[in-house]
Amino acid sequence: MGLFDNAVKDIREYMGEKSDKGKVTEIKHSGKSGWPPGGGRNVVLSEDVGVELGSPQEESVSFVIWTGSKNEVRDGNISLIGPDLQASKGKSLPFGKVVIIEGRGFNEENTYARYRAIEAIRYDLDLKGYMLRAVSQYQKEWSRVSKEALDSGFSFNVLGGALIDKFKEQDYIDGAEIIFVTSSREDVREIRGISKGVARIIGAMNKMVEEMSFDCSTCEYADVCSEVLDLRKIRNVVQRDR
Amino acid sequence: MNTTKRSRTIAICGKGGVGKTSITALMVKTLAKRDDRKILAIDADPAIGLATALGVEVKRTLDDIRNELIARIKKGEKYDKSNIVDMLDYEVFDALAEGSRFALLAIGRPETEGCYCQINSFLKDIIGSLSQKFDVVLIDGEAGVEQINRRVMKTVDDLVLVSDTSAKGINVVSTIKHVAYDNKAVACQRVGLVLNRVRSEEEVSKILGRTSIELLGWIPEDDYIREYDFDGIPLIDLPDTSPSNRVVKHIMESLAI
Repeated sequence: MGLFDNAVKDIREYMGEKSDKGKVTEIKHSGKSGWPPGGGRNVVLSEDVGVELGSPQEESVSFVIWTGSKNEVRDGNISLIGPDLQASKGKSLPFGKVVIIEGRGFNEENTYARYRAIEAIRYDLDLKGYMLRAVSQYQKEWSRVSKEALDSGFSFNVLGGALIDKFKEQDYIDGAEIIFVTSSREDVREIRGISKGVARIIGAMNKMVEEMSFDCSTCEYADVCSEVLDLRKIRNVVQRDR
Repeated sequence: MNTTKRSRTIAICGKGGVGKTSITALMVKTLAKRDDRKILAIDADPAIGLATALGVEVKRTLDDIRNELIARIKKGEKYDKSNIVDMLDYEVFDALAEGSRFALLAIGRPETEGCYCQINSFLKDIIGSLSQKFDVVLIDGEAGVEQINRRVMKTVDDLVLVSDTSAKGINVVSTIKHVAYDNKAVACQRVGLVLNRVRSEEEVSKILGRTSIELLGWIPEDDYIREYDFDGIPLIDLPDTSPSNRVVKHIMESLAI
């Protein structure tokens, strides 16, 4: 069983249900987004905020999962549940973001290092008028889009497209799709439910690499290791290399 | 605005009670009104007087963040290095008190070394990387010379030493200059003196005869400041016509900030 097979399945069910209710808008990213860079000075202070997403006072969840199956990823697809940024000027919205990656050649030797690299990609995004703060451990992401960026046409198409381009700069990533949720706290909380399983798997991987103990009888991640074959393979490699 | 420029960092230091916080607040005001540069004000004085002077409310200090994280670790929560850095970056940004074109970070109680000194090291890095995202960083220093060796003072572009006309005040700025600049405890490009609450030009001449520090400007006794302090009105609302405001503007111009 792949690391995130369950999560991919759950996300598809979630999307299917939202789609049945007519809540999903789909955008196809084609080519480079072309948004100007911010020159590393992407601080958006409250006075300049056009839209705030997933602030500490709001519901927020963000995670990245990957699969080796081409059929599971709709490359270049940006799905939006809820209003786009242009329709949300002056608002602070709950925020959900899920990135599903089609990755090639993930194995027990390279998965952890790649996970680290994938996690860092969002920080490489340098878009003028877009500021990001995130806590991986809690799967929270807080961002601000400036009024000026909104006036210049910044949207989830721009943000999603730039992210997809960034992910695909990695030679082992063949495809990426992104789901944004801004509709309601409840819709974001449903994603949070799915993210818990992802967090357990990431937590188990972190523990294997960070800690010396391999005593499964006392490990809080024994249940996910039993369920996810790829996790056990990673564990065996880490143990071998110690 | 050239967004590829490096941030400019100015530290304001001196004896307690000489008006560092007022001058820092007026510097923030001058810059915030002048153009679209983004300013980070760092209140390194545990009394957090700069927040009042700027008319913003500090909900959490850097010390609060550090203590909360240490408490969570002591409770058994586990974090790896990258998670701690992520989290501190997020929490520090959340702790900023934001005003018009500026943000304020309050340091709170100075750090103590010990088992969690790695967290202090992460925080130092985070302040550094946060500072680089702003155009100008103004640090309102803790009174005296102690802070020169602390995390927010390792590298600055300009060290602005503030003194009143008292011999004690001048002795303190001379000591700071000696430790920070002459002994290279702080890497800085320029050191200058601002004399505050001056009653006559004669006082200035006498003081300049006792110190070799370059004079950036002198501020006369300012009734506006006294009234605003008395009434608890933020100094950021001080009228442009007040003597202090005019001198601070001139100082900023002479520093080419």
